[in-house]
Amino acid sequence: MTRRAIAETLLDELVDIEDTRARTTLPIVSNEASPSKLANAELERCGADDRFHDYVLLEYQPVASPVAKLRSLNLLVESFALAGVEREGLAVMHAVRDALGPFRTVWGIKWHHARRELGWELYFYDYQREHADLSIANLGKILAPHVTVGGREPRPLPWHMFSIEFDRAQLCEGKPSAVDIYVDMRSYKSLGHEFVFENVYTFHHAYAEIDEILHRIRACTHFDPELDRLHRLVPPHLLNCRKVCVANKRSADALYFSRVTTRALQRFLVEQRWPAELAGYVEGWSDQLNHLLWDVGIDYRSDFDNTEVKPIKTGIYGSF
Amino acid sequence: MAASSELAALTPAVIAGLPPGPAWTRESLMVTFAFRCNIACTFCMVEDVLTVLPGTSLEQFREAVESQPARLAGVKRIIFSGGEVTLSKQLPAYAEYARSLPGIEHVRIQTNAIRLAKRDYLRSLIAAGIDEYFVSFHAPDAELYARIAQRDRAFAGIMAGIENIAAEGAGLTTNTAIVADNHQRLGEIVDRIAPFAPQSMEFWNYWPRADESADRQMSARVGEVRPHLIDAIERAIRAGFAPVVKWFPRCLLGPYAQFLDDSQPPALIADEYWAREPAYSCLYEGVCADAGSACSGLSHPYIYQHGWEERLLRPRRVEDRREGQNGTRVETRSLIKDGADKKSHAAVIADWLAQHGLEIGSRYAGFTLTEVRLGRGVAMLSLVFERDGLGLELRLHPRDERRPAYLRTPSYNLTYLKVEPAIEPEAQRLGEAVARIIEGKDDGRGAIPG
Repeated sequence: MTRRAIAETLLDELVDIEDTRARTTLPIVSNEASPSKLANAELERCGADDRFHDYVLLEYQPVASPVAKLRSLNLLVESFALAGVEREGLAVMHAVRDALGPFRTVWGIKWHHARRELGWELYFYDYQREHADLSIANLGKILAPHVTVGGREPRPLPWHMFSIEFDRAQLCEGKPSAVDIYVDMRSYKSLGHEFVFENVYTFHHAYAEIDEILHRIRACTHFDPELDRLHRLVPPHLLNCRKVCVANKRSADALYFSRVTTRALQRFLVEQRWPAELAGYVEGWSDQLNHLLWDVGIDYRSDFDNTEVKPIKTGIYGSF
Repeated sequence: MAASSELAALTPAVIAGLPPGPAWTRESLMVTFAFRCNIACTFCMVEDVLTVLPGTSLEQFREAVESQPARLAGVKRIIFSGGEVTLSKQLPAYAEYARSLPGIEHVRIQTNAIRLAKRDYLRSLIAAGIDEYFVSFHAPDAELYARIAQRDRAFAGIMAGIENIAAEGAGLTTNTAIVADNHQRLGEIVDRIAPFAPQSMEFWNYWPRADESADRQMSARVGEVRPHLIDAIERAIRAGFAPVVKWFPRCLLGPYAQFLDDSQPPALIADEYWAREPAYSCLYEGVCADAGSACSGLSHPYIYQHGWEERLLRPRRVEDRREGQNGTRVETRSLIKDGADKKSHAAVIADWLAQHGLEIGSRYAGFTLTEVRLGRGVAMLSLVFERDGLGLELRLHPRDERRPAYLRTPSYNLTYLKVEPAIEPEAQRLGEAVARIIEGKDDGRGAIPG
């Protein structure tokens, strides 16, 4: 058979789909999850006067009209509900907001990969040290009915931020929570009479300072450029952010990405194997969350017997 | 292009003197319809919308160019694409209408050429005014073609169609998608097409639309593609025509970087098509002079599949803008200093507005400019307008012919945020008014601040 004859046969088989033929219409399958939630609390929605902050409490403009859409704190409340501590968690949130006022507090949800447990942290910023109500002692009093703050300043320190971390046991059983105190590029953990160095970190513009970011990652003790794939730690949907923070901790290194989109958050939650309920919540409510920007972090470590870096803790951040 | 004998030695001087490939995208308008196909290429970029998108009807095409004649400003070529447009009986009618439009010198179809194996059909298209044929051609032999197109005898039909195009003296350009299956055979593809004297051959590195997570595993690693692509480029040059390369890192093309052109023509296509357009990034885009319109970098699905290629790519470094006057590095790392950015953003926005003749609080086409915001992590300026509680938002990006835009000034693409259809004419009037003001101050060297 000549090539032309083959072609003619082929044409008979493949072509002559005519416009007059009724077009086959495939059923449209929606990928959208039905919005649902575990939390009993009413959803909180943005008003015209809402303000939006990233995890270093810098204000940003929402990327879509926010009015009547969900506040980021709804995700925090959902995480409390998922962990079975909605009442306790809400009490903490309300106590802080009632005392300090709205839009002053950064929240973090942590996912401990090995334990498969959620934890939480609240961050209090005062760069200029101009807010009399923001002190570790005062937060201790505010939180006292709900969380026992077990840390303090050994002496007045030039901090610009401190944070209080708590988990389910600390919420329910009153176990004391440490205070992390941030001074310039370092942080220290205070619990009881212990005050120990915890963390050093640097901030870099995501793309313009890529050389510094790469240097910091490669100069860390956990990442091995011969073994580890950079894009697993720095995927493009996260690098498309405002700033990258590289941190060196006592037993891990960490990367933080500020102001990523809700779509990037969705991807992050799935890739980091967060509880399906929270990933599903963000996906299901994504239309109601797409005005927000989020911050995410990855603590990673390589072990002696397994040199490939693994995430040990990941976090997501918002503000209320 | 010079004859092949003169190009035997492709020295840097000879290469530098070669013209780039045809810049057809800059003088074309693409009209899309017939979202169906008679083959099933494994890398198909419209697979998800085949039989789903209705396409631009002839009436919609007419309405689009007659209600907005500005769409045809500078346009010399109408391109029809789908899907496989030769499957539509209406293609000749589209072509005849395109030919009737002012300023149109060429009508092109993007096709797999299978139907063009029928010589009479091809002649009917030529008679209707289609003088250019942009043929997808992805393998040099039947076996590989069958694997890629998932149709056993596709190759025979395509080759017969190409033979007919050449025999009729119509313009032929081919387009090869570079994928894992064919990346080692690019030179053979050139050898297969060269005898038909194409106007150009294009090599489009896999464009992973609707493959957001790289599930198809379709990309070949750029480092492995590179020698074969360079070989194909050199064979094309020696055969006497200029190649075009798309979506390949410019820094890997060496002396052949002039043949990289990622631009696409503006297109009449449903908005939902763009929702699954792949994102591109390069780890070095903040420090490379070629980042942006000169080089797209790597697609995100590519990066998910193969990584950033950070040790392979070689950015053409720009001068470090953070050097102080005495050469000392300006530190911006501390968390405390992090807080200073907001003020500087406000200042650069104010400077930019003043330079471009705009002012917050002033009225434009009946709307008041109330706020201007910088894009987050992207070069974008958002201009927010209001009138009696009605908000409209215009967005400015660096001018980029590949991106859809409502209007373009010498330095910027201008779009408006989707609004209710009833409001759309007002948004367009506002966009036109603002574009006119910017254009009056825009010498082509403007840049988005931040």
